[in-house]
Amino acid sequence: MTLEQMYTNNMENLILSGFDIWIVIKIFSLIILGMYIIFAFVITRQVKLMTETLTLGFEPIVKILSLFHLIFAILVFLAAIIVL
Amino acid sequence: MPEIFVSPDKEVVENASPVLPSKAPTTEVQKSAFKSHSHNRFSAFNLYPDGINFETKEKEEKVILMLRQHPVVNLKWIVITLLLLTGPSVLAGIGVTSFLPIGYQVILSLVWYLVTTTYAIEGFLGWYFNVYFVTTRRVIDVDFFNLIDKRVSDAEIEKIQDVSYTTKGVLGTTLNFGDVMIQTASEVQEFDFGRVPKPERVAKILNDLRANVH
Repeated sequence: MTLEQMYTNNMENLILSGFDIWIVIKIFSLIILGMYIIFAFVITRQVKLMTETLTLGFEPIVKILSLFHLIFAILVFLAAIIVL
Repeated sequence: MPEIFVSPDKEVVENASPVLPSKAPTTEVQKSAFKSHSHNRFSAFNLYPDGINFETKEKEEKVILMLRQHPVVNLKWIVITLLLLTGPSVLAGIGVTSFLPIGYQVILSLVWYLVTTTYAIEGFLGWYFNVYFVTTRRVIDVDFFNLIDKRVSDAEIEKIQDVSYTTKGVLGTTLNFGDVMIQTASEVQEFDFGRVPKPERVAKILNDLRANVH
């Protein structure tokens, strides 16, 4: 039996046993998106620190930009919970 | 005929350097006499900028020059962002994602746009917050990269040992931007003002300041 045949058999057994691969993909996607929210939050913190370090006259817009990014990340996470 | 009266103003003008006046301008009228003085928040070469402040700025310290990379460097991330925005439509058109359930296709598109937004924000903030200051006392290099890393380094004007500049490539020569390298005797031994507009003028300003200090 070749490696490919073994893989196909294993996958068939997995599907026949009622195992849903999409659940695994959903959980994996949610973990990644959750980590992305943390990253987006860190960006807002960093932008806040930068605007405190430097006053260049464009601070409110830059803060809104980073906040918009964080909200977008949260919305995608919530959409993934509902849609997937 | 001997000169009985010599205007003090004339003396100042004669003693002043060709680039900078001997005394920093304080009023808006004085500042606006300089062509490179600007109120544009996205200016890459701003002489005697207004409303600029940074954490370590001392009370009597005045910002002479604020620099950023030439705006043309933004072209790269803008073009890539525009291309990335077409990504989900192209992938759907080719049918690459057609094997996925419709819900996954929607989320994949949203994630794609999210990553594109991050890339665009990183491109903009990386340019906007990467600034160089020349003050009456110091040169300061503020680096902001990868969205989560920042570095602020400075050196006293009197510790500057050598200033040189290079203009490279077709774009650099056409649009007159390049790198200004500053060798110092301080902890940070070399400052590199990368891809700044009018590098020859920046070097001249720094050399004049050095000459005034020494």
